[in-house]
Amino acid sequence: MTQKKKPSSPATGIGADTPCNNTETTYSLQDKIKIVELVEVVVHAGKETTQAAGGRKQYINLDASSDPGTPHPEFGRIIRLKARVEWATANVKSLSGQTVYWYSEPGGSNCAKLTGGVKEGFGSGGGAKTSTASTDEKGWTSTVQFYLSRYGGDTFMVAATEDAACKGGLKTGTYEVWRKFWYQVTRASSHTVPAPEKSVAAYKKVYAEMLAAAEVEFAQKDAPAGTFYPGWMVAQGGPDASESVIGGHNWESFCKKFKEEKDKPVKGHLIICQHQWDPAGASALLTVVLNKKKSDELTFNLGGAWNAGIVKPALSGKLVSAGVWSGDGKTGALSDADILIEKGRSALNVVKVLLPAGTPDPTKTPVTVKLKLNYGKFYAGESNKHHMLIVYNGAEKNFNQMVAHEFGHGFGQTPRKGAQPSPLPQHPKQYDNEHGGVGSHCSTDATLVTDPNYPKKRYQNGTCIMFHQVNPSGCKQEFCATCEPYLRLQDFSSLA
Amino acid sequence: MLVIGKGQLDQLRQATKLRYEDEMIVHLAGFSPRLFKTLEEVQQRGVVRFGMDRAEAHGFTFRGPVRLYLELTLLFGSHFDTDPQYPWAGQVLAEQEEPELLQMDRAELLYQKAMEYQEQVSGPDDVHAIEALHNIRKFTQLPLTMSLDTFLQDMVLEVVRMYPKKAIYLGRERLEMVLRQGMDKAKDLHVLTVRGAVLVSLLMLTFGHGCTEDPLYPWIAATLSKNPQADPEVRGNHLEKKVMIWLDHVLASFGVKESA
Repeated sequence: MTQKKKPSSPATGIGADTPCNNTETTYSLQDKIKIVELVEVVVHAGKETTQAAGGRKQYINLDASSDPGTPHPEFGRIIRLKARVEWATANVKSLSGQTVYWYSEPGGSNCAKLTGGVKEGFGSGGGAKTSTASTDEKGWTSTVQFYLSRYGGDTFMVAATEDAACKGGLKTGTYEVWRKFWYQVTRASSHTVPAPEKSVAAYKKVYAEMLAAAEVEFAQKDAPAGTFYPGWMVAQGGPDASESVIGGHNWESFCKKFKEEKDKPVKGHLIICQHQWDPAGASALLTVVLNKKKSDELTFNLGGAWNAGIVKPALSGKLVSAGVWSGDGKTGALSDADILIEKGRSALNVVKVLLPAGTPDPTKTPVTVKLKLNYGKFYAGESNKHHMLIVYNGAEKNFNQMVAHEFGHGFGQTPRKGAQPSPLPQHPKQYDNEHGGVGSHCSTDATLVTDPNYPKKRYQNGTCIMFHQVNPSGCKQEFCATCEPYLRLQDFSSLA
Repeated sequence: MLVIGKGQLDQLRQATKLRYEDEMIVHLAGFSPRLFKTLEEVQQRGVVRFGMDRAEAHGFTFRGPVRLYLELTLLFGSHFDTDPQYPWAGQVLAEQEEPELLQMDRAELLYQKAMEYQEQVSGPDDVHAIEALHNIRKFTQLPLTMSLDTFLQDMVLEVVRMYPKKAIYLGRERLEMVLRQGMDKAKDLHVLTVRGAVLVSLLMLTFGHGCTEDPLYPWIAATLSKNPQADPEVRGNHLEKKVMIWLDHVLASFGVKESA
């Protein structure tokens, strides 16, 4: 007992009252049918219409129900079809109950390794290779559902025929498996950002269209605290102009600038900043003896990280985590106001201290300063579901790699062992944090080099978009040949 | 004039019959995709040949009647012609005094009876059948309170509760006949525990009384043929697991997701 159609009356169908092994004419010429029409069925708002089954790009990752106001036959894996038959020669009998046979013709370059639900089929993903449908009295069949495969770039034609051997008949145009997604850029109004053309091209190569949605701009006066700093404070040699800094301290405010759009159900949010800094905690305690009121540059140990620095005001909270001065039998506290960060400092982990009023004259009595400062770490981008924080500082190659890379993470790249879409094998170039970066990445063309921070060695100079580091000179700005099938079979229906 | 010899004609007939088999494989795949998809192509052909042979034995040789016979095979099991759950089928198929004249009429009568049964027992859109499958699935997960001594009377009550439309349609006498067959079959298959008898009986009620040898459900025979000397309790547990998997598959075919 499983779901079945109702049984057919034994009197219906061609040659119903002739023997199964009739070697002459199984049915008379008069009872032969021919397929005269093949159309695509579009169901929208409870109404059914038809249109030419001319084929097109089919965006299988999109769900038509997400945009109920507009019909979207081009969304989803299902192509709905029906055919109409007529008698081959003049005949007044009802056309009811004639059997039409359906089959598909896959393209010659289709992925041949698919199995299970990701494969094409009638009635379901991986369903039957052929199907049948009965006609009504006007000769129209019931609607047949053909599921395209889930592999980007696969093509299919579907045919309806009166031949039980599933040959000939009328064929649809070619339906090609594509995916589509959008991106919204959110940026400071003072920050000009180019279109990520190379990212768009990289996704096109794996049969996914990446389209721009309306941009969202924000002004400095409207931004939360800790969003704008002079360029020189957050980068050595940076300009005087204020530049946008986004990270853990203010990220949520910018996530809220994402605009949901029903007609763009899979949309990523590119929050573009000039610098990505995250609060990272307090420095090691620095103890220094000062013999002048304004110190020379004091260098802080920021955990030994190369990508760390001190900014004022701190990204969040107070800059001074702990600070005291002592001298001539007196002590006092140091505050943020006593910390100076001057343009032209020799490194991002150096500041000066201006002893506050009330301290002994350090030129006569040395003053000991003990100080811990809160600091931040800077990065090149990260993603959290559909929100992606991207740094753009004028380097377009880096920008493009980061955009494509973060979307790649959103779409499950590089899949860890067991997370790859079936039936693909384990990704042979996948690696994790132990060889660099944070997350799962691809090592194509990379070499392992010794690095004290990575006991298992660190990958260097990978050429795939999914390499863990921006690599402007080496990155080919495309998904490598190893990654390509994983992207073509990946479910792009959401950014996770 | 070109003369076709008898041998050549037989070959032609055989080829035409094979073509019809192909046609029916395609047709049945469309008739019940979920069920047919579980079978390898060679098994699908086996189902079609088995059905065509049985149909021929009942005097059904025309395309329409044979197609109907095969469709009923998928609905009620490959042995529906002898199944006490479908007495009308056996009666109609037995009436073949004048097969050439009556084949289409008998097939039409069989069709009408099948439609009546579907309407009365399975219900519109199989609503009663789906409800029964839910109940059967729940029942197979519960601890059993019956014993082999009281199996028949207790199971009758359970079937009345789980699938009242079928119980009413069959009547007590026929229902007991099916259940007794289930108990006998459980004994033959070396799974004669209370749970084994319950499972085999429910399989027969659900998939037809010949389900343990039915080419449509090779998993049942395969399950029961494993470790024939093992403890009946162990064999029963193994069968129960398979039954649960299949019931979930069947419910899924109706678009119903069952939680464990």
